[in-house]
Amino acid sequence: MKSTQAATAALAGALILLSACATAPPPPSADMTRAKAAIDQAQRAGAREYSTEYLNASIAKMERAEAESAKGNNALASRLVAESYADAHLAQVSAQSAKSAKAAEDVDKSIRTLQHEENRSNSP
Amino acid sequence: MNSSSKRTFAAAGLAALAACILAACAAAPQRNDMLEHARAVVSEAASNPQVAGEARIDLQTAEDALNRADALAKAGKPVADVDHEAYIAERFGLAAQRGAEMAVSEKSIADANNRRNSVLLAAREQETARANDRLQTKTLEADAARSDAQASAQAADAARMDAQASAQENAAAQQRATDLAAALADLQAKKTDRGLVITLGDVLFATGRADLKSGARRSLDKLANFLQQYPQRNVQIEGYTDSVGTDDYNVGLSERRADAVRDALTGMGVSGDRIQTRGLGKSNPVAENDSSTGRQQNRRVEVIISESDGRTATAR
Repeated sequence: MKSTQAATAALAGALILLSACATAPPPPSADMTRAKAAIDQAQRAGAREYSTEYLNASIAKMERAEAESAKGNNALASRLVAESYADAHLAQVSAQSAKSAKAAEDVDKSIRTLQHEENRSNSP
Repeated sequence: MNSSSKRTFAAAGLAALAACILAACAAAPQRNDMLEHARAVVSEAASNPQVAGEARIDLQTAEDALNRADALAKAGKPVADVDHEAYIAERFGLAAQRGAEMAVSEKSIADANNRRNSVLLAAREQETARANDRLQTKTLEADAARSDAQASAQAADAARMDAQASAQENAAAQQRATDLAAALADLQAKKTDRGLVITLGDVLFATGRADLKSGARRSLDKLANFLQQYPQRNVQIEGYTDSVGTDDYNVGLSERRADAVRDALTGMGVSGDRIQTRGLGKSNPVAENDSSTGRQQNRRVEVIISESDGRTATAR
């Protein structure tokens, strides 16, 4: 009877350990650090001005991720962190692209102006 | 097996059936809007030839996420799991597109210097061509101006010469007029309605005779000189007498005296063609015949000088 009880206790302990492993993954601290860095990078790239929507989505997801992580919902937190990173990356690339497009347009405009000036100054 | 265990078995069977039904529902191909949207975005990025470099890496990440989403969907995993991977795929797909656009803009900026240089080069070439045109135009204008100046100078010379010639001609004409007036004055020519008339008095002739006295020659010399100087002018010589004696005699005498004057002039080199003579006797008296003074005035020879066209006024 004792041995049976001991075996039952051992099994229960193993099950608890297993279930702890399955339902409570470790908090996604490394990914979170990477995602926060991406948000910083996006902001430096001018995302607040050029890609506000993506940046805001990224920040909102990061906040939710932190909240879920604090509640121990690490699986959901991890998913939110991954999405926050994707948003931040898109915000950064979009901001850079928009800035490049604007710069290219300015250059085009200046060349058109130059051409116009040259044509005018050359016209008889 | 008792009744209790039978019930348990039946319940287990039902549960298994329900599970099967549920699984079938989950495994059935469901249309996932999020997934399809992600697929469209990734597909668009994949077909964009400008996707390269970092954008290429983003596209790879997107494709991997899309594959995972498809696998989850196929395995009938919860929609939230599929949506999550689809979301990641969509974000990286968009990032790849934005990255490609950025590459295009950056290439355009990199080309700007070349484009600006080509604009400047074209402008310089245009300016050079225009400067050459201007130079050519100026040269042509200068040539034309030079030709004009030469033409003007020539015209001015010609005008000056014309003016000189006119002045000389005027001077000559004036001189000729002066000379003529002087010559006529010297001949004591009188302007009458018949033209210029020189009257040779009877003192040049001996009484009743037709030959000229030697003193007459001096007067006729002047007339001969005048006629040689003005070859267009002809003369008509008319002899007159007083009323003494018969008409026949007087007409004959007056004819002979006129002829004598003509002969004297031809002797001095004046062509006889230019001279007409008439004897008019006692007609056309210039004074009364009842005094010796009057009769002396009537005995005369009149020389009528023609206009420069050689014609005399109608004889009276």
